[in-house]
Amino acid sequence: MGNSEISIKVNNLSKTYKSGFSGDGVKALVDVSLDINQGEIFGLLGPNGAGKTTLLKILLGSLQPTSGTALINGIDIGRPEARGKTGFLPENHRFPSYLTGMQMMVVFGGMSGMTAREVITEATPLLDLVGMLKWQNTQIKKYSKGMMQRLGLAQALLNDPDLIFLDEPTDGVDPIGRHEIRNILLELKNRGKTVFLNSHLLSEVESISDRVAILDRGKLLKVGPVSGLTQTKPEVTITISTITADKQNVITDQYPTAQVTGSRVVAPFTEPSEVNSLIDLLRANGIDILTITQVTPSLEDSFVSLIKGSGVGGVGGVGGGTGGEHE
Amino acid sequence: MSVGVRGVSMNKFIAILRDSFYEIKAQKILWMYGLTGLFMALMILVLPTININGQDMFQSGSFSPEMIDQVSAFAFDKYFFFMIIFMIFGSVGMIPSFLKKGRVELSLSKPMSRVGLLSMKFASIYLIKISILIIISIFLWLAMSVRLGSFSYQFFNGLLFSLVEYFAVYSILFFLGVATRSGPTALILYYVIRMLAVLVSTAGLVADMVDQTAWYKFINILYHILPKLGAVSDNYEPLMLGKGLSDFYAVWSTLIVAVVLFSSALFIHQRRDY
Repeated sequence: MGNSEISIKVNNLSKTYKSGFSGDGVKALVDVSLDINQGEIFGLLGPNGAGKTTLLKILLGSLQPTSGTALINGIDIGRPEARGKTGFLPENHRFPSYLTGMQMMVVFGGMSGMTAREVITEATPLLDLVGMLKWQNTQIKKYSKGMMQRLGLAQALLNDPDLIFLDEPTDGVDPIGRHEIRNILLELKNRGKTVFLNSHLLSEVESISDRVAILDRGKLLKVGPVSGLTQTKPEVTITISTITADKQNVITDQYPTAQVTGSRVVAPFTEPSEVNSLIDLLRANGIDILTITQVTPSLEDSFVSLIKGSGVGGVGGVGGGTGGEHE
Repeated sequence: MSVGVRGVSMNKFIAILRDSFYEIKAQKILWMYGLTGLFMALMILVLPTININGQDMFQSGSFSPEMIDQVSAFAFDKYFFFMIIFMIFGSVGMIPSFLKKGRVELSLSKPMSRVGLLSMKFASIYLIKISILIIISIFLWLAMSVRLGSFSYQFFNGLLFSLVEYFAVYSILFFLGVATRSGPTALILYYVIRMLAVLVSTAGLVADMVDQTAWYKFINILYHILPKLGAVSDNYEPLMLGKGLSDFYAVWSTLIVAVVLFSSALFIHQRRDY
């Protein structure tokens, strides 16, 4: 058995999709290594085609890796037992439309080894939790996208999993539903469950994840806590009246890190005294100050900056290695 | 411990069995089978008479027991032929639907081996289909026997053989369903294979026409490796008349092909990326 503190351990996982009879194929994952700790909410981020779903599918047995290994709770992912205490909500799922909500719970709960009686006992409060109890006897073909998403989430939690994989869990869900799902995920974390969250919604990932990984073109760019990935230094943006090039030079001579463009001065904030002295300098030069704003870069800003900075296969510039930069 | 593992495996199989049952129920196929069986039973029970050469078949003593067996064997031969066709149409889309993108990922995420998952799906569909076949067939046999006043137990040879034939047929459909992941394509290919098997069975005739030994050999090889489903179906009547199999080679060679195709389907599924 592996380390009991680590829920998922990925070692140099690669996946290449064959394309036709010739060529090297498409590299969907390149030497990805990461550890996901027990009891944390782990967010996986990346642009379309980054390899997020490929990684998820490999961990859950739908795809077979070209090379590398991965363990779930210390068990190799090639063995079915690795998925014994996991729950999964796939993206773009197509649940059997001929089933009702409760029948689907019975079928997929049964496939996890539960009896029908156990499923019904467990499913009732779960369906209630996701607001689907009154629709339990309605056929899935009559459900909206958001209802199917809620049902899928209840299904993923059915066998009381230790590890829950969610691929775009709030896709198609209304804002209230999204809020409810976020609360459910936080409650799961409080109960010591590990949540592996794959989402395009950066604000969602930022608000609930303990750590995130950023993938681009199959390569892991960065792994770490959200606070570590976002730029910790807030920036101060000062809007001023339009100034001449000479005055721009006066500012940049004293503050080389400041960006002066037309009527804006953007400077990385370090100490309040630095902001005050910058304001003094502007006033001393007869520059009118119109507004002063402090901006804290979000995960989205860091994400965009990382992806743009990575270039084509450009892991080296940011991650400093194929395994990505771990913080 | 082993009992627990067996119990968990049984729960998984029951879950897949339920899924197949709900799917068949939703397709309205159960109704189709039920209504067809009921209609046929009513025909047998309610029809005042069936005249053959001016003699009433239901009139006691009109026909010899041998003649009744012959008529019964002929009727059930046709019945099994149509039931197998119904079963083909009813089940051909179930494996592709099970392997549909967006659904198969969820099934594969469950703690089951790929081979176990697909074998259980095959077994569940097969069990439900043959249960329907057995119930309707026995119901009809009872109706026929009551009306004729004679119970021909050789009918059960035909029923047993229909289970074997359906295993062969469904193994082929199963392979085509896994390989193509499309119900209509699997159905078309199934009938292409059937027609091809009929064509190559006339290998000698074709060889004479083309007058080429190489072609003859090629066609002959094809004849041996293709499932001989038409020839298999020809065994019902002799079996129900107590004469045994009329074409033993066709039966066992088709069963071997079926087992090979079944195993190949599992192999494809085991290695495929979904």
